[in-house]
Amino acid sequence: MKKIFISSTGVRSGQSLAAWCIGEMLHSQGLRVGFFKPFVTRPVSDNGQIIDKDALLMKEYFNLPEDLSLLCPVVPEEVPGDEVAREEQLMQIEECYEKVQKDKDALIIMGSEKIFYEPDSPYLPDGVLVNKFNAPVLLVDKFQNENMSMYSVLAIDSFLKDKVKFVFVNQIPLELIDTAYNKLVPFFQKRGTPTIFLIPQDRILTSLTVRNIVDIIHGEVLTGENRLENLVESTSISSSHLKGSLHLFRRIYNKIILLGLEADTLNTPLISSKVTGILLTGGRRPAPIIVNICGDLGIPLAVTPFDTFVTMEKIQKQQTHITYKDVYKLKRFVQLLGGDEAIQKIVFQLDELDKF
Amino acid sequence: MATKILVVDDDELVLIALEALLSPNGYEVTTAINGDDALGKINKKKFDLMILDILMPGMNGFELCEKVRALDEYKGVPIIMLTAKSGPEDKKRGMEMGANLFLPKPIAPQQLIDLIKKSLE
Repeated sequence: MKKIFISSTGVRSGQSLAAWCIGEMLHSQGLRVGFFKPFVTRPVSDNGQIIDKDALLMKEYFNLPEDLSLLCPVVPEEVPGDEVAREEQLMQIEECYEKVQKDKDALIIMGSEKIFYEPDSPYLPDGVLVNKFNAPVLLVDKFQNENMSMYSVLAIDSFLKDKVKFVFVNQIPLELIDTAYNKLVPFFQKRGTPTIFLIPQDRILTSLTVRNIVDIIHGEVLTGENRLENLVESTSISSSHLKGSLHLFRRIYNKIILLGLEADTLNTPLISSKVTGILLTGGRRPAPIIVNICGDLGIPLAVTPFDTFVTMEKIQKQQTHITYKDVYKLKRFVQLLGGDEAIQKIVFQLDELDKF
Repeated sequence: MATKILVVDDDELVLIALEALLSPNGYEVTTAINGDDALGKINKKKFDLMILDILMPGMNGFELCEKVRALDEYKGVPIIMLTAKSGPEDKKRGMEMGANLFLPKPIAPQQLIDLIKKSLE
């Protein structure tokens, strides 16, 4: 069985997307892919049970038969446990691992974003788990600068005794991609390992669709049903007591507008067809004329019961998480990674590692 | 004048990693592959801070730390032990030998930079 441990140098590095991407690559080769994540790090409550969002994503996308409590068994305490507690955690993890890896051709093991030492972390460090599962590592590094990336990769590879086989340096600003390439790629190519992939910052990866937003703010869609897959790059907030604020509509492209104003006062001729969507916050329903105009222009118009503050908070929170519905992000990530060539390279290398 | 740091580790990867991290932050980094190499370099140049590994063939980090502390011009120089050997007993021994900080590997880059800055204050 092929296995790979996905670790990261910090939070919001793109680890979830990387794990999903590797899973999909292996799945596309006809392999039965499994998923295991020892610790719940992205908790969500489901009928009183704490489950992990990554485990949920993988279960739903790959139709995994195992229960979520097997795929991601340990809900960590707020404070780190003692030696005995850690031993118990390890035993529980090993038991679940044995069950999850059965009848699989490939297993994605996901770490807890804790590869660097942290004295008060409630999780077992990824290093302990990597050694336990004896798995090659894909390290996801959120780019800060070339030197930080070089240090992180080398320090972790040394600590894990050459187990880091792949590195995704992620979210590199476009203006720095050439510098990063010229410094990082030759350096790691000369060493021969790990195989490094540079992934630029990308507007699609950081965007939500109108449908994503409507789902998370429990919105009711009044018009523009067929344009709910439009990408939303940013948001503008308008308000009834900002004079002339509706002029925003003239300047907006690919934005979603949250409106807390009296819907009847919408200055309809100013609504541009390039607006990605309009949300009316506070549960107010617009006048029929607004609905008609948005309908004619095909602009998604939705009403949410939440106020503007709560709506923005929910949208911002969601932007750091992906769900199985975000297949467009998965496809985009694979494309940025290098498409088929990257897939073949990674799969081939995993095949080779599997032989030893 | 740039602050001079001596890094001692038998793992070349760690030396490259620390040099890659510290040099762009304005530090002048010298590396040594073992205790003898380090003592040789100390004789030629005065360093402002030292980062030592513990597990090294020949002279280990504790022994090196003790020898460095015995030199008059190194009595007040900050010594950081950066090691995978991080039990409480090791920490105690490191402090007894004169280390100022005992940090487990691997340590996050920004955290290390902050601690170095603090040690040099």
